[in-house]
Amino acid sequence: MKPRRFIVDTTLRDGEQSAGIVFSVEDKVRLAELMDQCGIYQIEAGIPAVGLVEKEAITRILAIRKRAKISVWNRMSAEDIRHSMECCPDIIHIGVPVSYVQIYTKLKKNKQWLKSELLRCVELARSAGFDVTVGFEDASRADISFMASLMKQLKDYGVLYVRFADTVGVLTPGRTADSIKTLLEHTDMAIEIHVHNDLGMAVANSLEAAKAGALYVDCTLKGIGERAGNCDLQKFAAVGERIFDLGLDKEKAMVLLQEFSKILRMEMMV
Amino acid sequence: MIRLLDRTLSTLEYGNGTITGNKLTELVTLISRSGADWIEITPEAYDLMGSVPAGIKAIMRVHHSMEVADFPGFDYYISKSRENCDTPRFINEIQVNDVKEIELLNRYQNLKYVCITGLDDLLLSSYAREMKKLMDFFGRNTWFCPENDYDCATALALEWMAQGGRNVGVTFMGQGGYAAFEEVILGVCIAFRQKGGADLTLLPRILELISEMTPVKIPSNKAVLGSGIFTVESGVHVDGLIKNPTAYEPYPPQWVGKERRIVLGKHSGRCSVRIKASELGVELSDQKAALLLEKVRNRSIEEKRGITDEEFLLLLREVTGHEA
Repeated sequence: MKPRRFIVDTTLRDGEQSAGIVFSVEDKVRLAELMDQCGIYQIEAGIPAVGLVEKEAITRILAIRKRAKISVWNRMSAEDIRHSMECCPDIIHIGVPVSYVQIYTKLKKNKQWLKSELLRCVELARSAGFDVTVGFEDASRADISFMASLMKQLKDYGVLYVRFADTVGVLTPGRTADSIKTLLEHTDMAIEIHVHNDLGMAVANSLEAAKAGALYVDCTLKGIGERAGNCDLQKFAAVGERIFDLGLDKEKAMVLLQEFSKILRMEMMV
Repeated sequence: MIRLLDRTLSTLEYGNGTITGNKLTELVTLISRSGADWIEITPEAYDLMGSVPAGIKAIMRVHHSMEVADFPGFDYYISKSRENCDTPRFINEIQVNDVKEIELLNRYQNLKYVCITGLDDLLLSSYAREMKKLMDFFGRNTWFCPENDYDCATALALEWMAQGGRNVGVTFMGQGGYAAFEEVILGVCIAFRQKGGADLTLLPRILELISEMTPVKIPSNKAVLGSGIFTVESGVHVDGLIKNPTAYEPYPPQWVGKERRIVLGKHSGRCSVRIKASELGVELSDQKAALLLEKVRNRSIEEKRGITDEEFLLLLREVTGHEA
């Protein structure tokens, strides 16, 4: 039997962050319904802090889904998390920059501040009864021992698993595997892989991460996403299903892709 | 030392009138200046060009060793004929379609120069071990041209180099189903800190030339070449980019002849509207920036797209009382 890996579809969140792409509430609900039907394990449905329209989409998705878990994305901000809690999602995902370039030049803070702020946000969501996952932003350029140390604390705070994000898309398969294996060896947490396609290696890096033990793999339909996009679900499934059980219904996945092509302004997807 | 063999010319369809000698000469010159160490040339391309541009190392594709004499002066000759011939600098190209076939290749160890093509499924196996086997059979100077049926060719090309292989075969945009030249050369620059002399600003012109010669459609998010890969809307990203471009860009857009562009839409943040307003000579208070952002987001959601400059100007006038 092939080992199981779980698809997290982030078309409705990271995919929609592609410049110029906007889904209506109806689009989001329809796509989420089809994702649910084709066996996507988790749908990252959006960012509640964006506003009322986004919240409406998320709550409607929660109302119609049958099997998929519905997660929502948050900055490391109590205000963002409160917006999310209003939607009552299955999972509150908190993104945290972990590379030094992000911590020191973007946030203009230090590691100690970051750790305490993150744990405060996790505690806020956990104390309200929500499942929480944490996304390590720019993990591919971060100090691996810092991430391992954070993961141990997050485990103690009840975080389900951590997303390892290659935010700027510079990983190679070898480096991906090394990072995932190292974190799995030194922590007791499951890992989700989230890569970008800046060097044309999103599918390969996702595959290598899954081979190295990452349980969850982030994808988007047609690979849409920031800059050169994310890991393309269809392409990943074509190679990933050779060695993993991804839980996908191929016929229903085709229906999803056809519907997506209709919905998306396809000028970028010639 | 990492060396790239560009095989784009071998993937073009000749005889339709769109491919001329001048275009091919410019193309091979630009690809060479962009970091290719060898250009693979076909007899059809050679006929059109008349000669190989000065300073360019070329490999001639031939059907068999008997043709070599017709094309003197090339750096190497490459063929699928699998000949153990006396012709100097004759590369035997071996197509390998399944990782299980690697074991059987030891029967070709007597060949002096070998190019392994195919192995699109190599990443599904323990690829480092299999690559080592290939290098044990044929040496590190073997050319490796991974195919792209599983969208892993660029990764395989770079891993070949990471494992100690020196020569890889690529094509521009992955034409013909190989690793994409532009992705591999950038990967070499970023991951291995080599090819510092490659002029990647030529990539857009190469794309233009290829487009004139063969029908190509390129998604706006195509890695390295896409028109939209440095267009940013997300508020978090714009804020980070303004503070430090390396926070959200894998390499400076100027490396590949592009510019960063900030656009407005549903995912914009206050930082973006402030920048855009400032470009129009308007400095916004926190309150007005928040109000303008709300209007931008709402318009973007209504229109299901980003906001144009004209639309932004109208919204800005609404918020600032028409002084913009």
